[in-house]
Amino acid sequence: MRQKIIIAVSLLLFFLVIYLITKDFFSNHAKNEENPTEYNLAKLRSIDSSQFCYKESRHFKLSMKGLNAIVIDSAYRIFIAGENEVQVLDSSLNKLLDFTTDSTADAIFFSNNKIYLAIQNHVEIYDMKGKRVQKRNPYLNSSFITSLVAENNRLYVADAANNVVLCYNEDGSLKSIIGKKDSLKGEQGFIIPSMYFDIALGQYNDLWIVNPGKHLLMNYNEKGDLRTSWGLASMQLEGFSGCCNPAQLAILPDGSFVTYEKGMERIKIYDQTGKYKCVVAGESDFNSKAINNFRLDAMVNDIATDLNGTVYVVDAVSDVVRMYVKK
Amino acid sequence: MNTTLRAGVVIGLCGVGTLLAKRTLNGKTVWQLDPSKCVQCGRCATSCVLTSSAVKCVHVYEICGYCDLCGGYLKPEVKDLNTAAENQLCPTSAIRRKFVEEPFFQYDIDEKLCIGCGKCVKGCGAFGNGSLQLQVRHNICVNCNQCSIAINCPADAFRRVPENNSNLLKGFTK
Repeated sequence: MRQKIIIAVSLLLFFLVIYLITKDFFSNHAKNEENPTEYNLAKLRSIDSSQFCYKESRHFKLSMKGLNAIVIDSAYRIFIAGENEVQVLDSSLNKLLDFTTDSTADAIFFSNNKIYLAIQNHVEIYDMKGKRVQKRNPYLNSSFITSLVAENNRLYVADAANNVVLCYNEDGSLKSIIGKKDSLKGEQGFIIPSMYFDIALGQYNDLWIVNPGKHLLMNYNEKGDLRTSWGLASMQLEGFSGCCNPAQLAILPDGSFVTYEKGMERIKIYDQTGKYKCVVAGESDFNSKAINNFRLDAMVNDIATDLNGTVYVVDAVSDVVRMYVKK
Repeated sequence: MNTTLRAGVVIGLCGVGTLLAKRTLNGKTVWQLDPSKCVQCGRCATSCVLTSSAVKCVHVYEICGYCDLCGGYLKPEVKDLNTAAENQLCPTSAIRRKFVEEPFFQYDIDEKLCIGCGKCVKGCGAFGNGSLQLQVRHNICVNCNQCSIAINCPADAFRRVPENNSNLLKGFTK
């Protein structure tokens, strides 16, 4: 009897061990269980729905890939630079113009019937037939132009490699250099930790420059004198997060600012004084698959506004242009 | 019958020989972590057979912004941007912050203290340039036949790479 009990217990233990080994072998528990050393950013990334004051009205794809830069003119024409190509659409998204470029433009601007393209270290100017009328020499061969704007016979060019904004005359001659580092005057210059350095024209065609390393938006005159600045470094919605933000800037017709932050992706509106108003779009509006992956690029390549206050976003993940209107 | 058997043995031997020669020519392979797949789950710190883990944070200085407000060094919402222990994101204070010039700071990894949890990597990727990246350090790794971290990796970020080209660090793409 005793022997039978021993055999029965042994068999029971044997099957129990087999069961545990099999379960451990086939289960995937280690991959799914929570890890105490994980840095959870979900709470920081989430945005309360009450903060959103814009909604996506539509989005559209173009017959070109690698959408990189966008600008809207006063006639609501949409100028978009993509992979070695530029397309111009009317407000109904009918194609008005399509031409190729030697390289992909990193920035685009339209003024005085001319299309200005920033291509790596230099500026190219095209007419409305898509013909290149001018190719300007780079300020330095090492230049990397990330943004440009033109007004009143002046062309402002943001050079992220040399941390300056260059002001050119109509004929292409250099008028002034804005934001040059000057140790004697105690001027640090612009702090550009990554290749995101944007400029925009304000309500009165005044020049706004992003100083991303300082989390500031700075207003300069054409001589390079600082007039005013605002900005706050913070993970909260009121401020600019991360090492170097905002990455992109656009200005609404009423003088409000539209900013895009990379890293913790969010597009927000600030009023004319720099006071936070609301959110246009957050990470959930873009391709969610990309959120958890290790990314060195931003999800948004460029933003722009039109005279109606619509915000245009070049979604780099989906390669579409998204349009956001007020709720 | 005998001829067929002999031919089979010769073909088999040739096959094994080719396989061995190929392995010899290809050289030794080692485990490495692909930063482009890594989701910084923190399991590298706890799943390695070694204590502390053979996975360490590596700093790619070429793409670092040398930022004052470093998302890999500082906890979010810190009051002051300084080296106070309560401000540091790293649980073992393995990152050294060194002043370069206003407003730039250099960040160096003390590998002896690093446990490979990837908190700094996640912070740097989320808020900065992504210059902090996790890598298997082959002066520490014992190169198990089946890497225990690879088994537990939810992103399948581990793979074998040639020993003479074992780093999979990522650079700047824009």
